[in-house]
Amino acid sequence: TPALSQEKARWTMTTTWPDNLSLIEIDRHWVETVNKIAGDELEIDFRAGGTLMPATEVFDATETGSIEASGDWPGYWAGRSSAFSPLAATPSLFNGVDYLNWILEWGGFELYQEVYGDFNMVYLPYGITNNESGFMGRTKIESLADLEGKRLRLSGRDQGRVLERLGGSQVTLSGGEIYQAVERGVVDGAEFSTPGVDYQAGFAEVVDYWATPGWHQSASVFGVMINKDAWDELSEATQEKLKVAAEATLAWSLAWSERTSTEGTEAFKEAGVEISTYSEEDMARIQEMTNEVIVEGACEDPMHAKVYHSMVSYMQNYANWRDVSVPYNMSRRIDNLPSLEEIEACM
Amino acid sequence: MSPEMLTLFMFGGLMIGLFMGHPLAFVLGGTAVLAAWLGPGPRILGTIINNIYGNAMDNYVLVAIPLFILMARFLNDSGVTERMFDAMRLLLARLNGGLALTVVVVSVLLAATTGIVGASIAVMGMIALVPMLKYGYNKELSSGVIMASGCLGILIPPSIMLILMASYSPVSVGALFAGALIPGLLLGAMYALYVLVICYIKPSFGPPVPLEERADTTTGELLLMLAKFVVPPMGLILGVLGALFTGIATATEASAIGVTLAFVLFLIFGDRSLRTCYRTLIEASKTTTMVMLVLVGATAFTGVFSRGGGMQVIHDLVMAMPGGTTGALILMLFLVFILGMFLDWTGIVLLSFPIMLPIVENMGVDLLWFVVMVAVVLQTSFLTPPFGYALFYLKGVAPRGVETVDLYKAVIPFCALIALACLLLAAFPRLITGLPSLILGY
Amino acid sequence: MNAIANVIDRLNDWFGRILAPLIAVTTLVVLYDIALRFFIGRPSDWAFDITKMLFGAHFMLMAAYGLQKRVHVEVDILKRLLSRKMQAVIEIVGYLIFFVPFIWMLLTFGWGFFSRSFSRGETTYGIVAIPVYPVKAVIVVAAVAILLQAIALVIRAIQQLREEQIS
Ligand code: NA
Ligand code: NA
Repeated sequence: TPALSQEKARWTMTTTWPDNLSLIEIDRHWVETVNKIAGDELEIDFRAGGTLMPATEVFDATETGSIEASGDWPGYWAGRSSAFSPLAATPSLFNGVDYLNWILEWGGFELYQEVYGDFNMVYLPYGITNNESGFMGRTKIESLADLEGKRLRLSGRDQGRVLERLGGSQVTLSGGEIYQAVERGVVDGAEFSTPGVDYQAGFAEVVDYWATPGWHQSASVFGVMINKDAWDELSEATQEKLKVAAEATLAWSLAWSERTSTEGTEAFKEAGVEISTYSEEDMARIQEMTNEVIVEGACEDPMHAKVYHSMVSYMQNYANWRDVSVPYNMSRRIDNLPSLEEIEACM
Repeated sequence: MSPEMLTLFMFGGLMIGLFMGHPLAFVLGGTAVLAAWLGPGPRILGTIINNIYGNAMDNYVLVAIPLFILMARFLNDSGVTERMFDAMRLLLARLNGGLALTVVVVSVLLAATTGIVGASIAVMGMIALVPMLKYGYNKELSSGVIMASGCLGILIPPSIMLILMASYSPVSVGALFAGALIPGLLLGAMYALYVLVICYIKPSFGPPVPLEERADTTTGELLLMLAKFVVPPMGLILGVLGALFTGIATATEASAIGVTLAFVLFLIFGDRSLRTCYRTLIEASKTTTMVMLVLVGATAFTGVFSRGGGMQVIHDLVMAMPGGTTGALILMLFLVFILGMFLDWTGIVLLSFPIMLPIVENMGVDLLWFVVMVAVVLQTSFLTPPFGYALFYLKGVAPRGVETVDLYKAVIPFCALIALACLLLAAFPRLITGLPSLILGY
Repeated sequence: MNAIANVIDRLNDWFGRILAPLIAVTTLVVLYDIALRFFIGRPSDWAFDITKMLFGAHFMLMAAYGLQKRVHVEVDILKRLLSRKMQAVIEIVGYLIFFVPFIWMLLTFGWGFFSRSFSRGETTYGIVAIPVYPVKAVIVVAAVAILLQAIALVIRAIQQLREEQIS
């Protein structure tokens, strides 16, 4: 039977990333894949971040449908609902593979729909980057004791709370201000992104020390917000193609992020930046603080609690198999998790 | 509506509204709404609000604009400018063109402390134009030098225009301030040199002040007076630019420090009355809303223009120019010059930067250099008819006998000097990039 | 008619005079932030966001006052060459074709923008959660004030037309 003659949909899509930030590659990868496999049904006019509206406004514009779609990092919208925060990243909990597992097989995808659905949007997670670099600066930070009294550029509310418990103070600076702030000693150290991105931003020119691992953000998720009405106008087959493209991009992005992080780390080493690692005791302490902060944050909003409940449940459930597959398992092995009972009480 | 039609419609609407004398902010905003309705469709109207809120209201860098305006107002109310002018004028009185030279020097000093073109020109127009005419100065030279030097305020840092430019480009405020300093001083020096040369060739253009005017004050006393009124503003300059260039403070913080220092000057030299203080807040608020409301209209305009494909139309037009990189650069700067005849700098920055900066970046040209070049070219926007805002400001305070036609003629040599400065800056780009690389490692 | 225009003028004059000092408040907040950083060694948790909000509210809410005092950029050299009657006509036409669509957009879409934020209790996402909807409401409030002022200006232009017709 001949296909129903359907008019081709035309979407305008933008993102939170400007042209010169490499994270835009993830958005482009998805758009190109969609155009390859669904080009007959849908044409996406993709514009770099900042060209149609400021990055902070793409959420509102997608919600109202004045643009059909936009790439994002969910954490930017945490002022609207704190549940966006764990959908975007966690301090010291999930790594990249955990997000992949959770999104595709442990109910994560549905939670994205639930949280974004409240804002008249469909969400396709399509990017995962693994662990961020950690603090870089001109002051040596070898242990948690060194954080005492330090002024550190750090983003995120949970992250700030952990740092505060460790005796440091959180300084909020936009990405563009970090380089100069480190150079002038306005901050003792700063986190920005993964090693590849950090190196691109020129940090190797101004930092001498790098404290690993980046406990503040153990992995991050990116994706596309799609206006619900625009989504509903697509045929089911086209919708499926967009999802397939998102899953393909999700897998690719993880590998891409790992490769660029490797290259970035090599480059930092070559530039003579000294890399230190926190001790096991320090890592255990960070885990304790993080667990407390996660429960505290989750209890401020039921939806936030619901997301963390699902994430911690996944960690517990997956541990059944993960623990017997050590050292060949795909994920992070931790036994000290945030209290599921306390989170449940807040749902 | 095709992108080409949309481009014509939007610029046509802009021109009509402008010539009708309707407030520019509403012309820009109204044209945007009508174009959105007729072009991409009413669905996209929401993005106009997103642009107004995100670009104009929720923008930390722009907070420096009202604060630098407030600083300028406090400095103005301290009366330091007038006294500086009086001392300098007597000092240079015996020189051919001495008064005109005084205007340039005081304007440059004023430019380095503040940057409101309207205020600078009005002040200099009131205190300098009448004496110059009285001593037989050439009408065009007198008014031209006041207008041209008065515009330097927006080029020599601190400058609210450079803050806006930084907000709309990847270049930082600090780098732009550093980059524009030498070109601004260069222009000032060129104006001074022009005054000296023309008054040397034609002494009747700027006759020396009669000896008796000077008789009752010694040079020593004059120098002391000068020191008293030049040193405090210098402290202000060092405080603000120093805080910024050493990285102690962001532009916004530096502007707040500037307000504090100017307020101190007001307490020392001004009338210290609460009434004056309140009036200063009102005046600064008026200027702020004037600048920012054009920004509101312009961000609505560019949002719709970009969405409707207008940016691409202009982009293709520029790229179709023969002459490669040089040709495209000349065309873009020329477009800025043409826009400058009609629009004010806020609108021009918002319209041209989103189109031009990606092109410039793709060509591998230094963005800092280009942005400062645009800033220099925009000096002409105040001077060129039909809509030269410096002309209006000076006409507002000029005595009888100085006609609009005189003012139009007066700006010609100064526009030529700006063009000459542009050639110099193109031939020696280090004049722009040298200082930022020296103090900021740019 | 004239009475309405006078009331609007007085209202906006009063509104502007009350709000102008916000510029000084903004300065003080920035100074407080700097002082905290220098003397205590850490910046304020709220100054950054509050500074932006004060700035945005100040210039938007001052716009109507600015319109009343005729400070907004406009180029009236050509208009001044026309007869007073023509000036009044041009003024009214300008408000009809440019101002009306723009203010309609500010009011309707601005209201949606505000209510989306208000209904979810949107806050900033720093250590301190500051409500964002008040500053989003500013767009609507400012638009109402500007609309009122424009009504006063148009009333005066109509008056001008009538007088010209009588004389
Ligand atoms: Na200046
Ligand atoms: Na002009």
